[in-house]
Amino acid sequence: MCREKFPDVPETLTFDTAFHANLPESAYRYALPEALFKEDHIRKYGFHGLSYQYVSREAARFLGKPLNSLKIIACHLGTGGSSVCAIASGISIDTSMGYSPLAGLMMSTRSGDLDAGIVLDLLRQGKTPQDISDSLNKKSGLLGISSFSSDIRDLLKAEAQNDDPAAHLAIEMYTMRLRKMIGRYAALLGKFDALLFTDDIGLQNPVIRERTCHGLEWAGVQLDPQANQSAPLDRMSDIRQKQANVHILVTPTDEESVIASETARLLEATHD
Amino acid sequence: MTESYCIASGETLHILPRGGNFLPETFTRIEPALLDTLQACSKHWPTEDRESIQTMVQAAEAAHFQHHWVACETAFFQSLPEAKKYYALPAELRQNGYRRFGGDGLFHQWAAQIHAEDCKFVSVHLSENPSVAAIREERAVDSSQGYSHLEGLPGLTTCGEIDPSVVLFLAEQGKSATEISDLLYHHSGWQVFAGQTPLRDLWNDSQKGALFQKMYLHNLIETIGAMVAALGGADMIFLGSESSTIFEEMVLQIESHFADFSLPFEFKEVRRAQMIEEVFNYRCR
Repeated sequence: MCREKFPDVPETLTFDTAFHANLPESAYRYALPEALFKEDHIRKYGFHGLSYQYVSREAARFLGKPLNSLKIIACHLGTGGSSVCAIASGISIDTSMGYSPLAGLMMSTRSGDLDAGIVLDLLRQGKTPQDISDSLNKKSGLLGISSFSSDIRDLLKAEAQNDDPAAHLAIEMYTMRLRKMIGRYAALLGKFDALLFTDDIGLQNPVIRERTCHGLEWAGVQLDPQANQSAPLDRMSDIRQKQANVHILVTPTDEESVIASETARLLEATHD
Repeated sequence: MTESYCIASGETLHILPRGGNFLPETFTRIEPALLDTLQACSKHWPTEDRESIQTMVQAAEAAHFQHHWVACETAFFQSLPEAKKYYALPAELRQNGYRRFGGDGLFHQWAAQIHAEDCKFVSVHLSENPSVAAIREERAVDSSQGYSHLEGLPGLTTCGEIDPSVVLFLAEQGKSATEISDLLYHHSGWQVFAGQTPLRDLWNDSQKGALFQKMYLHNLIETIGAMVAALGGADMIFLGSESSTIFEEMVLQIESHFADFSLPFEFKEVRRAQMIEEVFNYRCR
């Protein structure tokens, strides 16, 4: 359509998976038959690459250190999809989404990681792949457990005001699975410099950050409750306790600026 | 296919890989009335393992239902807290009884009982079919294994954790549930990288076994990290092995990843038969 209406404007394509292009083989391979990898290209691709590219560069700038000296665990927690990425020297070395954006964390309406045996069982019951896909992508996650909302703010409210047990369970599962994913990447990276929260849920929900960090003290994560509560929404801030080893960064993300700068770079290269 | 052990006290223990919600105790005496329960459990097993129920019950019957026990590998995980037990599925699917049942419970039960009661630790079973559990006050609080034999770390022929969309992709290609099941249970796992080479040779062959070793370590290290996080920090990480296939080199590499977090390691080797006897004596005598 663009091509019809604006025939003279050059078009570029930016991949949200490109940031993960250098994942080590041990991270992107599944223990599945070779043909599925070679012929069907079934492997971990990861997503939210533009966001991770943006926030890791910004983190380096904010901390005043070169990106190639930093180890960062970044949590992109969106109202749609959420993932975590282990970043060493500006390169993604593992990430929680997989072949599709369904894998990894529990999300607003996506189940996240799930025993493959459950999917097999649903197929055996005669459900079609499309039905199952709808259930796992659109009716699971926070919505599935709470049965009333996919919006974490509704759940936090129901938990605080009415002690709603389903909302409480949904939030506990959400933060516990996020904490475990951070633990995975802490083990992979060893001592790391920063834990970073971004996108809507990561930026706007101090309660989620606090409950996620509680239980990560062993990894050097110590959150300052006051700084956490007052983290600004329009710029990066550090909410760690002063003496803590690990910076805890809260920041808006800006995927569009990465697309813009990558496009500018590409066009310049084409014109040269 | 049944794995059975005759122990010194004269009891025979038949290992039941998965008990679902049907067997809450690790050891249950085999009686005629147990047959229905065992049939119910069998829906959690790969099809070809189901005949082992018959073998088990026939052996018990021949001994007039004396001294024969079922040893259930998932019972130790009945204590998992709700947030670990459930999958993030809609209510109508949760009603099917999908839960994290765990697995490899005899080993992790043994790891729990040989440590002090107030010890909070990650228990790692190094083997061709590795598993990891989080243990607090002798009770399981998390497991790398889930509803079926598939989730968690890959095994010798099982796929381990994969994106659930992969199963749907295979179904959309026209494969039946039985074909996909066969692929994920029997044609996946470490053997994909090992080819015809026995796994124990691959531990030492750094060239041929390079990808296998990297994947094994990568998956294991991350899973241990997740379990430390599930406990909110651990007193130590316990590595146990039932055979001499595990070499010092691998243990050292795992340790090095946790050195920054000052997490101490303990390593112990035990024969499987002895381990199972110790668990039985601890629980039932």
